[in-house]
Amino acid sequence: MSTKRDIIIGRAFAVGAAVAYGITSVLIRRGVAELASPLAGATIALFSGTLILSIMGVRSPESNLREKKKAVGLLLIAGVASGLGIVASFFALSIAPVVVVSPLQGTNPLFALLWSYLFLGQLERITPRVILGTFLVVAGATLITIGRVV
Amino acid sequence: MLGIALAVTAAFCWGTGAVFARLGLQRIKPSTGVLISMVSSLVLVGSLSLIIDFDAMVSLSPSALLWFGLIGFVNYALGRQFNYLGIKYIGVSKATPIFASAPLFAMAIAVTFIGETVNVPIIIGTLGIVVGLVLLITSK
Repeated sequence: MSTKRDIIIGRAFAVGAAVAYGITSVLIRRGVAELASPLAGATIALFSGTLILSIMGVRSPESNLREKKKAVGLLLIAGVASGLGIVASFFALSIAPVVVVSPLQGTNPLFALLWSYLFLGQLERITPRVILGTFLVVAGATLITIGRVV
Repeated sequence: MLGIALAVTAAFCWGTGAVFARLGLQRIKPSTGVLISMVSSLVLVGSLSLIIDFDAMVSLSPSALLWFGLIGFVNYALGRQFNYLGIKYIGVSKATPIFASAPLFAMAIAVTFIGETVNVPIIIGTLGIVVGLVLLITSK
């Protein structure tokens, strides 16, 4: 059960992630993308991120990781799914305009919402407020993306 | 049509990956979880990159390495780390749409520091995201 403090911390981290993704988008838009092909660039970015996280992780290693094989497997799948998303995005942008691809990619919370409703019923409470909030954010992000591209 | 299918596939993969992360993070610390997922992402994307984009990989300039290294720090060491912490603390259904508000922050940074202009779709989109975030953040 999450405490009020946990919820505040979780929201702050989620907003922090959104800010980080926003900064990345600005960096890529400002010409960094022209320095290398997207797939090669994504590989270097993933390598750099993994290296930094490895160095940070040395300070607080996880105990009994061998006893948590199922969780490790689920996180490996999460990483593969994320990697497949990067690859699909790369190929989509290579054959279709960004004004079409970006809004469609931005619908990923709708999939997360659907799977949460179908498979995480005991872990997550999906309320009408969460559903409406998700659709508004996705629609808003779509409009901003279109507004910045056209 | 293929471009649309691939874009939807990307959204499907990212949305699905977040749910797997949520399940895995029940027993593993977010800092370890993010590292495990990063390794599998790197192996997949790195292998494909070497297979189909070998020339680009071996001809990367020092400035490309520097800039994409910086993006790796911002997008993965910070972004994915915060992403997993958010999922751990508030759940995937509430955290994922908050991550999706990134275009709002990108737009704010671009308008403030780069001088991008604002138009009607951006204003309406901003209002949509703000109302959506208020609904998500105030939901119990």
